[in-house]
Amino acid sequence: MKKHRFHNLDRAKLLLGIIFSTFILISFRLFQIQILNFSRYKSLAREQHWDMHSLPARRGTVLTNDNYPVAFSAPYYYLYTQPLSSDSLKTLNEIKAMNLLSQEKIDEIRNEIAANPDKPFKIDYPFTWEEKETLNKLSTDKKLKFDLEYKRSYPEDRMLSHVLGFIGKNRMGEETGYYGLEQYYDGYLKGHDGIMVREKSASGDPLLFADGETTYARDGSSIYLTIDRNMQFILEKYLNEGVDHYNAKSGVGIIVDSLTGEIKAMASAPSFDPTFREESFDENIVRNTAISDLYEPGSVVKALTMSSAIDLGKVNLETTVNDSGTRFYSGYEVDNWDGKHHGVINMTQVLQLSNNIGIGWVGMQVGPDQLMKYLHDFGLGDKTGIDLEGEEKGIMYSQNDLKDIELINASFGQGISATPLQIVMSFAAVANKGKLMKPYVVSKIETDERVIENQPEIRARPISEKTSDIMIDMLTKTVSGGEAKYFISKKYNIAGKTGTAQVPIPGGYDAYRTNATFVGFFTSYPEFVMLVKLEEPTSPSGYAAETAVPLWMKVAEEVAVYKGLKPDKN
Amino acid sequence: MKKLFKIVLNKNLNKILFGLMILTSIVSMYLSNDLATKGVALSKTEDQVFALETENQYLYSKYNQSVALETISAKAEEKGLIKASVDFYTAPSFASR
Repeated sequence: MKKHRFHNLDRAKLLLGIIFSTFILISFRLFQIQILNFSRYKSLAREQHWDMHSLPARRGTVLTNDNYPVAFSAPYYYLYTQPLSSDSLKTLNEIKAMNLLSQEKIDEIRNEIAANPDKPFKIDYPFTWEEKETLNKLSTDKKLKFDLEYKRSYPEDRMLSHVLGFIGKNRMGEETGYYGLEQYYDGYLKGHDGIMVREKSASGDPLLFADGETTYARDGSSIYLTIDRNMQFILEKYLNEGVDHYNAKSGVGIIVDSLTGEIKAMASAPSFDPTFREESFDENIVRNTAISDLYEPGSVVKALTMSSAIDLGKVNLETTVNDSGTRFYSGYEVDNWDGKHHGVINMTQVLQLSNNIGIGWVGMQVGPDQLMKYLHDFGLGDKTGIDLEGEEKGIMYSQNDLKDIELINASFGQGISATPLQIVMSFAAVANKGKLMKPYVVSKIETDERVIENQPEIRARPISEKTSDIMIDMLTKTVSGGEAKYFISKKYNIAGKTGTAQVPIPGGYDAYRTNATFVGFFTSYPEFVMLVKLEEPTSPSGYAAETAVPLWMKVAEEVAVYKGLKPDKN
Repeated sequence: MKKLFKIVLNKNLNKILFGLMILTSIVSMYLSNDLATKGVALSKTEDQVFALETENQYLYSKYNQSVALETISAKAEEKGLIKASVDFYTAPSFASR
């Protein structure tokens, strides 16, 4: 009886032990699930109960002034193959049949899938909507999974590439704008991704009256440019041809509306493909040389020196200077570009002959302080404030410690440096009754809530309206009777100035390498001011009169036809 | 109290109540089913709207590519069109200078 009682007690203890152990095990397991692996199970539960979709924001569109989208985000699809199966292999064969990927690439993907048979594989090829639809029709796999991604598209290909910049990935792997407008206006363009969270049934279908939240994507803003697409096309076409024809290293062209400061066209040659891959990135190619490259502008600055002297009343149209031979300043010899001397010449002839002796004398009349002040007022040595990334401000002498030779050099554009944009804007001030405008490429930005419009802004008034009129007349005579006369227009009066500047090297200048510039405008239509600059042209020579001038004329010819400008010559 | 028991025990009334219960159950089932299937239909419509929007964006992209000046210029060249020449400026031979 006693033994039997003990036996029952043992069984009871055993049962209690089992119950207790089970309880401990369950508690441990619950601790493991609820505390230790909380986040894992929470996300698993969320995956089962909730359907989450990322709603990618579209980067904003960039449009020229005819509302043509020169940069926008087009939809592309990336295919995820199912884990290794007969269907996924068939899909690959169908892609091959559509000639979208090479056999080599297909084999590579097949090997990748075979190596990781349990994982879905993203095919690195952007399917267009049309290709996606075709593949959906062809494929036996009715559950092809495509992910939508937006890719930047540039319908005009390389056109305007330096102004637009490009899109690349930053350190976080996010798409970001680099250079040009894409970088400067990145905050407006990029937008914000959205997310859709919906509760779903066991079969995966969304429930109508269930919890959920949708944050809609906010697409990037649209940016409207001042760029005239036709002018841009004309400028780029001839600039690219010109760089080849005159055997130059590179070229820059800018057309600006002098009345408002609107950039109508801006190009650097050679251009680049904005959809390039990271491995082919070359900073020298993507930099917008119109705003980022400094160069000694040379004789084009003579027009600014002359404007200063006329504005100050130091010289007038009747003033003469005796170009009797070389001169010495601060122990340095100064001579004319062709070594020729012309005796007594007036101020118009100084510009026509691009006479260094004459303009040096004019510079001395103006004096160092005033000359530097005027050049600053014309915008040299300061950023223009254009709404593009990467602008340089140039190098100028300080007003206080200027030697005579430095003053003389500055008066004909050597020893100082400027960007092509600064030079064209200074001429635009001459053309615009002495008003220097702030250049801009964006006319308006359309965000979800508002429209931000850029308005013309006067930066400075370097010269008076009267001086401007005199200078326009002098520059017209400079073109018709100066170095540029060999390419004189038969139909239009043109005001402008050539500049052939030797390239500085340590201790002096290279006599065989030059930068050739021509900047000018139609005398009767001073709103279109254009600059063409060629870096180190060699064929037929390095002179602007034989390279930059004919190139400028070719562009001007087409611009005149396009804008329907009435000829002002009989 | 007696009257109340009489009503509760009334067979006809019970039949009517039972019938109503069956009817409301059917209606309730129908409505539940309708709501559930509408959720699916709604999501399908949303997907369709999204697909049409992206198709529209693709067509916009294709259209703009076909009217690009680069494309038009290349096609004009291909067709043999040449630029009208304008007698704009004199271009003397530099060899004669």
